[in-house]
Amino acid sequence: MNRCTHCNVLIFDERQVCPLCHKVLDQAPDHMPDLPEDFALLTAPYPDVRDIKMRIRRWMHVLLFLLILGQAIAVAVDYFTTPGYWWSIISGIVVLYIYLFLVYWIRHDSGYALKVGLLLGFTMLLLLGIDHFTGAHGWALEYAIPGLILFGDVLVFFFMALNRQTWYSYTMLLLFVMVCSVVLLILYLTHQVHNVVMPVLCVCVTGGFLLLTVIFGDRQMTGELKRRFHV
Amino acid sequence: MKNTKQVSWDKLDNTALLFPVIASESMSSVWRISCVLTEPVDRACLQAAQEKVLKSFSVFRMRLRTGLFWYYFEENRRPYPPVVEEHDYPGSYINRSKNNQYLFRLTYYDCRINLEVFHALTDGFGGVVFIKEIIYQYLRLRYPEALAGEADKLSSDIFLDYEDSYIKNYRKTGGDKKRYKNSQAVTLHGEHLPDGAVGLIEGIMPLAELKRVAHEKGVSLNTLLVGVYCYAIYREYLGGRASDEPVACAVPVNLRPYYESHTMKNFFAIVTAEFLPDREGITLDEVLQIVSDSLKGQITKENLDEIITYNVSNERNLIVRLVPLVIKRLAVRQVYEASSHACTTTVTNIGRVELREPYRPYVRNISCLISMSSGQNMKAAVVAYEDRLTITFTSVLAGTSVQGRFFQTLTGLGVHAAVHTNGVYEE
Repeated sequence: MNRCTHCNVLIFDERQVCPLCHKVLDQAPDHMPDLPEDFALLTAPYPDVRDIKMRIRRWMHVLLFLLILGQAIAVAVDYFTTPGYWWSIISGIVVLYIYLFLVYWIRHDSGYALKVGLLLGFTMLLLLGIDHFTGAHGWALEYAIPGLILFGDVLVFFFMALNRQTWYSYTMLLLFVMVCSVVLLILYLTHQVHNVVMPVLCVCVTGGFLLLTVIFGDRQMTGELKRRFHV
Repeated sequence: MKNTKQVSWDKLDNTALLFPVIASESMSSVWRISCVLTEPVDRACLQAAQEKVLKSFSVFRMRLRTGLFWYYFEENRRPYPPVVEEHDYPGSYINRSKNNQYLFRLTYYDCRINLEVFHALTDGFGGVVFIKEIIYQYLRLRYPEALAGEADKLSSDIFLDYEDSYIKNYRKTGGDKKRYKNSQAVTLHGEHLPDGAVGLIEGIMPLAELKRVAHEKGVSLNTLLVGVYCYAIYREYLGGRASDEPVACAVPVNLRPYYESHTMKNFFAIVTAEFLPDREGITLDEVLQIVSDSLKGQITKENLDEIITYNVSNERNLIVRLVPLVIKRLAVRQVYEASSHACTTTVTNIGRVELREPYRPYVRNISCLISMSSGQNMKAAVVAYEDRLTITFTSVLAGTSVQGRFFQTLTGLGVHAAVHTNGVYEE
């Protein structure tokens, strides 16, 4: 154990200078009559975690670099092959979307249901944006988003089957998919969507799925709704 | 065996409502209590001890869920979190998805066992009860022959009480005068430690010497520590000059003794020791007197009643209850950010931890620490064990002059001190 004669404290660390005042330390005497004998044993070392933190950050930097490199190549190819049509802007949005999503998925600690719900929601917005940017043909609302909603149903079913003990914890995700289906139907009824098949299919599939969980879920389902909606 | 029983759930207590909203990588809302044993920790024994003790502590077996209007706790049926070797900065964020959704973690390194808890679960009192049982169980498993006479069960002097004592002690009137402070206090700025590091300086001092100094100064032990800390900030950060802004130190008060509660949930209130350096050359004795008067005026039953009433009345307001959680989060964050600069720092004192006689020889020391929060770049946590007191400063600032002045002031008053760091302060 060392001693700082300026601060008048003993220093447990194996170091040359005092962490408090930066004065060079002296060797503490072996026996200090004013202190209990076990005073030098009262603490344990700490791990050096700086390398671990650095490694995680480095991986994120590598990922960002690769995505930027990919986008730069896309811009170059776009410029030399199709100079009048800037499709690389779309790829840029997709690259940004992928990066932000990966950062969120890796770093954020919310459950899968919330992450998947957000993924579905933002993907819908992304599809709408791409549709709008490429001439507003309406394919996003007519086909892509209904397809995504049905994919959402499959995902919820998959999660519930995989995690049977707490299947009810995906109820909110199912409700979100149901809300999206109903919005799609409303868009059809207000003539924003022209194809009747997909909205009706979405409402029927999701509604049927929800009905099944309510009927067979019994108390677990009502318990989940009570918890989720408690005021 | 398949568990088909209806899942149990619970509302968050009044204080806990804040933490899920403000918690992030940089502001983890995690506190930690550590025990230094006489021998290196056996991981398998510690894991087994956790498995056994956790079954009885339902408050630690919860996961945080998001409702439409409020967060809530739900019984976590996933496997218990693995006990791992410490591999992150002390008090770092508990990533739930990497921890089987549990809101605490048990780690070890060399001879030290660390319990790190997300503050929404419980406060220092609940944590101390839990870690004591973990330590007892661990030692029974580690040294079965030496502790053969000890019954393999929880201690009979603890209460596994999970009531919401805020709600129980809420009175409908009297809290209207209270408001969250949002006046600006001195904020400790400076160069930050590199790469998001958290610095830790642990000081161990003989309890009897500190008590003697407190007695000589005519203040309580806690007031002495808070006062010396405020004085160190005044001398080192403000350079001993006058300031328009006060040095304000938040002091959490355990409410259980005032309301005869034994709850394992959070039950504390924050009071603020405030000292306005209105001139140069203020002495330590003057600071101690100001801090003592400031704390005495606030730690009264009437004032604590008011704090509880004000906090709970917000939670019980029907309009507030009907606001969706997404909007509540924005509002709470706004209020928190506005009031966070009203305090320079925090000093929490979890008091004296006493272990049962047959186990005491195996535990050399106990320490605790709290993580950073918005506007507070340095905090301190205090715990007493046996004949010594350990104060742990956590900081994201590279400078250590405030901590240095703190120890220099106490050693100047005849207190012996030994200091230990987590190695992030470069030589």
